[in-house]
Amino acid sequence: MSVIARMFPENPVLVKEMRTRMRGARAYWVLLGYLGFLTAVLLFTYSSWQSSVAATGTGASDSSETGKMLFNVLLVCQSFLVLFITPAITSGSITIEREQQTLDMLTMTRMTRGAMVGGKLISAVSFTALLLITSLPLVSICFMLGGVDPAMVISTYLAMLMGSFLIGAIGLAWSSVCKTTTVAVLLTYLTMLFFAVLMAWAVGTYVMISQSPMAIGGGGGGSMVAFSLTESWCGPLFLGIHGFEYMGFAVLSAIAGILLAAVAMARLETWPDRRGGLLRGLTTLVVVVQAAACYTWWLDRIYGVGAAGSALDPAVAALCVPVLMLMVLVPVFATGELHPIEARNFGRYLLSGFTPRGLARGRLASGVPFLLLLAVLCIGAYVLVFACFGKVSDVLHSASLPGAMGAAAAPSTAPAPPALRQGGYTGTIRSGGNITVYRNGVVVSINGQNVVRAPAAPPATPLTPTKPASIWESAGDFPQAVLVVLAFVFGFGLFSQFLSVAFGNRWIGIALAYLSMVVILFLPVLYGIASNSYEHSGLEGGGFLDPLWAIGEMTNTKAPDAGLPFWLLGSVSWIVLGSLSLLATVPFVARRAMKSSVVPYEELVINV
Amino acid sequence: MPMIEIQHLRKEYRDQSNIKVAVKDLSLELEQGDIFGFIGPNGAGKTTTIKMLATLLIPTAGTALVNGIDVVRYPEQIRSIVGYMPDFFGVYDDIKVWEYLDFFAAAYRITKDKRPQIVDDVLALTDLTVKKDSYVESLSRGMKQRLCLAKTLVHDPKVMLLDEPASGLDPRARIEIRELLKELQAMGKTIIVSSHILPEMEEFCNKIGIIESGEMIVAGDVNTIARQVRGQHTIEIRVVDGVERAEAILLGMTDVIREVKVTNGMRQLEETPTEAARAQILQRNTHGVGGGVLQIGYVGPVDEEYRVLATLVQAGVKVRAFHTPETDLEDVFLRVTKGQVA
Repeated sequence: MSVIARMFPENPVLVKEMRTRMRGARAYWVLLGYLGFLTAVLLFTYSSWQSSVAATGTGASDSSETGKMLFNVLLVCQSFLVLFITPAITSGSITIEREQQTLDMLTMTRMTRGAMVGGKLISAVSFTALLLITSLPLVSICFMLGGVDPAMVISTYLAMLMGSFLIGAIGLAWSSVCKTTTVAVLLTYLTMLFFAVLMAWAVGTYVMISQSPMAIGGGGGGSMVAFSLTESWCGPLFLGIHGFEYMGFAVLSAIAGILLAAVAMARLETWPDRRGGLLRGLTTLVVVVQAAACYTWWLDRIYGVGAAGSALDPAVAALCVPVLMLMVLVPVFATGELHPIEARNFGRYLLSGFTPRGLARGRLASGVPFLLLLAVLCIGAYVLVFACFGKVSDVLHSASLPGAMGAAAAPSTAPAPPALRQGGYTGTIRSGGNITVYRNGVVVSINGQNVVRAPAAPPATPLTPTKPASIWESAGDFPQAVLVVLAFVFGFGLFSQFLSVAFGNRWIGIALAYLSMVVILFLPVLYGIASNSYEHSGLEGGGFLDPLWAIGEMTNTKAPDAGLPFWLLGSVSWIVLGSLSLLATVPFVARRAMKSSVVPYEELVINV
Repeated sequence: MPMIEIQHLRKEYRDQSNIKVAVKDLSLELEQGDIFGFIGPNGAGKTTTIKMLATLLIPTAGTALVNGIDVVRYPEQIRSIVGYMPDFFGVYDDIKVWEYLDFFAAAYRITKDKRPQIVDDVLALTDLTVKKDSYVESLSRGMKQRLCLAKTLVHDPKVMLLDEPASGLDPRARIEIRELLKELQAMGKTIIVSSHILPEMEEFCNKIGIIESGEMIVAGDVNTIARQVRGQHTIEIRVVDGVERAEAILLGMTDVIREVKVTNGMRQLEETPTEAARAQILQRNTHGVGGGVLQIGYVGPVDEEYRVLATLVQAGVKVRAFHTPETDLEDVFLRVTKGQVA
């Protein structure tokens, strides 16, 4: 007992929260309301099924379908409830202490910030766990009807629990930043909305891409992102390991949740900058693991044994996944406040960001260096995954490495013929436990069983992509994609840095950086709508600035727009834009250096 | 080594675009066992200074050492030797008194087996034992204040920072807090108490500092300050007989006495009292009438005070008591401050 107690030192915050959570009637009312709502939904669905059975006369034969349907209804309702209840608990957990004026006394204790944040998060998640466990008896009705197996229940419940952990951590992170509970709750739900929109955008791209190759995100990049993201979250294959469904989601939520809890922890420290190394390390972990999960899932389609699905895009499009994440991260990391003392020797200060010590300190100078390092790591992971499949030499012409279906349909010449893309919907739809594979708008298989007899498979041909004439083809390939990614991070990073220095406020800098990103993403679309054709929106509408588009263009088999290839145009534009931003920063830095200082003590101690 | 050593401490706030200075160039040294009364009008910078010592605010410049440890560089170490009681604080809902204290004891990493004893001890010290199982929010304001003090004591801190511990309390609760502070003083703790109410400080502080607009105007030993401020210190002389005679003699000692006050009426000396005035008094009644109390403003060296007594006794004045009364802090305060608020 004492050994265990020593291994897991007790967490005072957790003990206190656990003691007080269930006191009084409130917690029981929440439980009652939660279960009451689920029961009502279930009863309604069940009785409507029963009346339809009575009307049509169909009986037990489709009861397993109904079992699945009821389970899905329960799942959706519970997900919504859990996703709204957890942040409601956590987003107030630190701001309430601020409002009650208890935070100072808690800060003064010897408790680590990690223990404080961890205690609050775990207590909130354990309440969610209680809600989930109490709902288990309701699932039993699905067992009675069939169609649901215990493994499915366990994996979905685990996914919901980890999802609530992630969302709880988002609430906690906002709670540590905001002054009042109202603002923290609002921002938490807005963040959830932001990610919902982002996902909708990815899915929307995916759908649009199947109709038009020139939609948002260009060529095939968008569909690749949407496809591999959803598959790496919900599918049973994660990082090349065959596990249970939603395993990827559970693992990624866990890491991302820890990252956000660390953000909250750092905000409570006397010196948040000292935690820069931890935050950056965790961010790197989340990004690289997510990117690698998408790469492995994709390459498994190309090289793997189970290459049964369909694929739209050549392998190089997988680099769109880290690009998408970098788009979200650049404004956060590249912005910051500049102290007069840092501004006084700006050149040397910026260079100090490239040292390991500078990277660990989390100041403005090391923002762009960190993002470049992160981009390099993501690209390195891409090469590493190829190496794991034993195909490292394919990296250099990965733009001509299509997914399995493309290879099967066009065995001799890569890349895939346009016919494959211009058809109807091609891909896999997963709803509940069903996996439906579509090809060119036709249902090919449901749950692995062929519905339409597929045309006789052409003789299996080894995947030997034809060597392109030159690596520097106009459409581009891996080296060009690397250039695009690094140039984008460099240019957009320095631009965001400029914004935050120019306005002297980090939050304004972040907001403006996101705004300009939205402009970059949607300007080509607007141009396309205005000119009634998407043909030239890539070039004339500025689509080449969107790195997703520039990479997507490499997967495009159509002849590119006349003129320079997008990768070159995009990279040069971003490098020029970044250099100009850096130059434009200088006068603002000089003005900042003139300001008399509210210089934190630490800066004086370390820098002088 | 002094227990608390503050040198040139400065704190600036950025309020929109203009910079406000809450504390400018504050220096202070306190030995172990000192009870320091931090006096100043509201908004003078008392709370800011205390929060900087408590590692809750980062000073803009200057150093502050507690027990030789820098508060800015090693906040974690400071937290284990300092107990802080904020001026405004809340309590958690749905928690009992003993749970509240147990929570803080655990947060100070006191092991589970020692905690019940410590909780009982601090409850006994703060006279809250009967409330052990009550809910915290049901306590009266004075009890909450004592509970907060109890919470500050769970880790047996060497230094206590008490920000307005008696504000908003009724007289009885105020006296209870005062008694408690006296007990802590007896336990050898170094205490900084801030207040804008003076009489409660006089009783137990051995050092005071007066702060106004972020500047420490005077700081040091209570009596020394009184002297610095007035340029003199008061000696009270009670005589059984011959009060007028004593007055006349004292008025004659113009080199060391600036002021003579008799219980009924006061005669203030001009720079040089005229010889005629003295003679007049001496003539009126050479043997004095009855007893009385005289207060003199003494400006001579402290170790020469006995000469005044000796002179009186030699002249046949029957002296019953000769002592320095407790300083009137309010008088000091009013003389020193200008009534400005930062």
